[in-house]
Amino acid sequence: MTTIKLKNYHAASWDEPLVMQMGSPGRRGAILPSTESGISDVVGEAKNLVSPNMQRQSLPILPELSEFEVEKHYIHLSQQTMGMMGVSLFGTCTMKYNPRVTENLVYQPFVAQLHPFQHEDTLQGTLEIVYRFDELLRELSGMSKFVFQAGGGADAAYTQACITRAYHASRGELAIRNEIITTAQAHPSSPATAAAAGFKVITLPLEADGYASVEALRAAVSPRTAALMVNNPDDIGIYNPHIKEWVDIVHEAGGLCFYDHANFNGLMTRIRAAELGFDACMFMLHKTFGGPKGGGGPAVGAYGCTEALIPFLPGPTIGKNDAGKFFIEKEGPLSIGRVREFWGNVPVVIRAYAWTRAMGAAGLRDAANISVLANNYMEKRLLEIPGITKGLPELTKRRLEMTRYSLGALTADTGVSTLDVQNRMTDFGVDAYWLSHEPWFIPEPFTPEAGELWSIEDIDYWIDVLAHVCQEARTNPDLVKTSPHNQVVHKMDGSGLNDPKKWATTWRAYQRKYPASNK
Amino acid sequence: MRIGLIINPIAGMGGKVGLHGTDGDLYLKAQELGALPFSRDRALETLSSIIDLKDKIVFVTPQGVMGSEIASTLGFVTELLNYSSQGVASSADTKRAAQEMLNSGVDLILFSGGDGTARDIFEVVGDRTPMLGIPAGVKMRSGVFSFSPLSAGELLRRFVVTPEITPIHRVEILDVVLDSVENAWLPDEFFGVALAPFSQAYLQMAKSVSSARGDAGIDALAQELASSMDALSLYLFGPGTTTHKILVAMGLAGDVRGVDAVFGNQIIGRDLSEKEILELLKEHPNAILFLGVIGGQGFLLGRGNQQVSSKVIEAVKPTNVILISSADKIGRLFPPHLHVDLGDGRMESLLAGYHQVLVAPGRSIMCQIVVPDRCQQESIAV
Repeated sequence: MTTIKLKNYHAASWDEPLVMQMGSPGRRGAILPSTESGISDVVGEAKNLVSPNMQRQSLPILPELSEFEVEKHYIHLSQQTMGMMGVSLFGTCTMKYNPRVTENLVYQPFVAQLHPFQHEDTLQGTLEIVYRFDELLRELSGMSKFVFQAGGGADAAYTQACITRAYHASRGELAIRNEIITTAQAHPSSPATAAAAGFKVITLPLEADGYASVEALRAAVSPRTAALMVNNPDDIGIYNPHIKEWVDIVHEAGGLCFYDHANFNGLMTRIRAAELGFDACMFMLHKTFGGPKGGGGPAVGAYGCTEALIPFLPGPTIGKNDAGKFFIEKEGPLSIGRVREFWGNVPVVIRAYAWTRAMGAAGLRDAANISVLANNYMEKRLLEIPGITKGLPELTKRRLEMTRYSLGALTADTGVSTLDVQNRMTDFGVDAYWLSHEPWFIPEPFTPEAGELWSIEDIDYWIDVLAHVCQEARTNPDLVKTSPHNQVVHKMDGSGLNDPKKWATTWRAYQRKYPASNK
Repeated sequence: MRIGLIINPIAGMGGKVGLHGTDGDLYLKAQELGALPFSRDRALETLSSIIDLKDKIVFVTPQGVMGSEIASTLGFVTELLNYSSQGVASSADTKRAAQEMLNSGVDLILFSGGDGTARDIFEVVGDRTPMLGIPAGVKMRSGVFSFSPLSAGELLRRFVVTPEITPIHRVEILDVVLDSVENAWLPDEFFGVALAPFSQAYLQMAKSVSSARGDAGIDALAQELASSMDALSLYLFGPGTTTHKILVAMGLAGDVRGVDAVFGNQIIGRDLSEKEILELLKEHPNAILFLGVIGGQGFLLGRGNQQVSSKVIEAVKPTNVILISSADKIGRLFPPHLHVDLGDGRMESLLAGYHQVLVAPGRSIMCQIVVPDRCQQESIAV
């Protein structure tokens, strides 16, 4: 089957100590000239410019290295990660390339040096981009206004939970309406943020059609229902065709409906949340709209809502007056306030705006189609590999652009687990795949997603590596179980991962918890 | 480490010839139908996969087909029990071997068989010695079984090599009893709670959290429910470890196997019969009943808790029944259906439909109680 030659890959392994353990006393990156007397005579000594009670009593403990040593060390570190420059079909994250042209743009002083407290007359261009991107997302969703304050998808879901609270409070119903309904395979930030905002959470389980049932929803709604928070499709990948009926049921009960568009890629330009009746939705600019993922930030969860919920939006927001001038508007009396600083992560909004304009409406539709096609191509090849099954194979409806698969049959035959396979695949220069959100109800899960970025060569290579590793599991299971072998480090003992006594996320903690390793 | 080894040589023979076990006379019938032994092969597969642990394990085992034959063939050190089975190995032989292991002290009993074998061993050792089953029977509903012979080897390896990161879990021993005359299924029975090593191989990083600390959601829920109880209501607790947690949170010692009653923050009845429960309910008409879910099967009523009969549910009133489970247990049911088997179609259809199952404070999952269509079932039986 395999026609593509697997790469003879090996990760860089520099085996360097921590930066705190490198260098030598007195070594410096740059030695600056001392202040000329003509200047110090006028303004005094530089250190006196800092108020005495803010001055350090002792010098900070910093590594002492030359500039070259610092650069060398960090380049080495970057070589020791796979750096998102391999093939990463990391499901639920919709991996996309961040075009260099946009990266260059946002590093320019007219973006990077802006300050949100500048006078709005000096911010017109940036405000226009943010406003126009709001308009683009309105077009894609049918909503009436977007805000970009939330720092990610979960933050946008939390925005929804807070708006739900403010909305029902404004109507005097918050004391009764204390339940939020979600589904088992929805983005886990929905139940989490609902609970964080003080709501009880009712979860509807996945049923035989590949989504929760209308009957379960009917049984769950009541005068206590505050909102519904759902994805469609969720991580099983099957579009729920009854979604309009769902929205009607919740509206009848007096609740709000929120559409989490974490899985929007296969649907771009195909549906509009507002036309399905939703009151609000969320897009992830760092997933769907070509913005970078920064290891948990900087990201943007763009939150949009219908007219009725605008008074509750976090502020400040950006508006446009009749003269075509853009302005920053303070939040109103019903606003939930802030979920993050200022008007959001503007460089990411600019990247997403540039990406969306470059794609155009037709480009977005092509991308959606390609991602659905790529996923179904991948599915066909994956299911030809012995030991791999589709998650819930009894569900025969077509999965859109992502779904879960299971290595349970391979594990039963060989004892090789999905974690072992994940480790072994990195030996071939393939990034570790995404397993599954919790709870794992599909045994030995993995969730690949082949979005429009990936070429057929990339997708084939990824599948070839997986097929090769599955074959190894049958012929040489120990090789897979003891992997990785070509990586920076070998298999780690994961037993300490949940033990805070073993965590050292700062130098100080490391010194305290591992005194023997420091000298 | 000293590992007890019991192979039930006739286990699993019924499966391929369409019988539902080899308990009792069924063994002879299975033989008549041409069944071949396969429990030995399953054990051989497990032991072969851990052959590199030869110098770490002593197998304490009966002589011959019930253990020593395979262990010695593979070159493991064995310590023979001073008895061997006569002819066909029976339930009595399994129990006797387990008793001797208990007397001489072993770290774990590895066995090859099905639910019947598990039950026989459990009846002798209870929760005093951990058990690990190589799945080789017809029915394997109990929680002591690994998914395959190789995963039994993997689990044993972890138990022997890294015992400090191989937690021991409490698991349920169940068996389905077959009426040999009618060849009809009798209800599952819940026999008790055994100990078994937990499969880290299965859910390594993700699950080691919950395995080491238990299910935090259920623990917190138990605390919340315990502190919300009033002294003037009667509370009934169905069997099982989940409902038992509420009693533990209240500082009370109930009986995990049976139905317990609490009134005035005191236990007023342990392991009650249907009749005793109904009498209590006459005195206290407004009672709350907590019921757990049987993992893997989704049974609420009629499996291992027959004392919670339809009369009991009627007296408590269905709206006063509170269902609790770990989210994980519900997550593993697909489709997410709950079952009741009360032998009372009217009550069953009353209970049918969606109910909230509490999984943590403020968290619940909607699950459907699905009731078989009795008319259809009866017509098939005819």
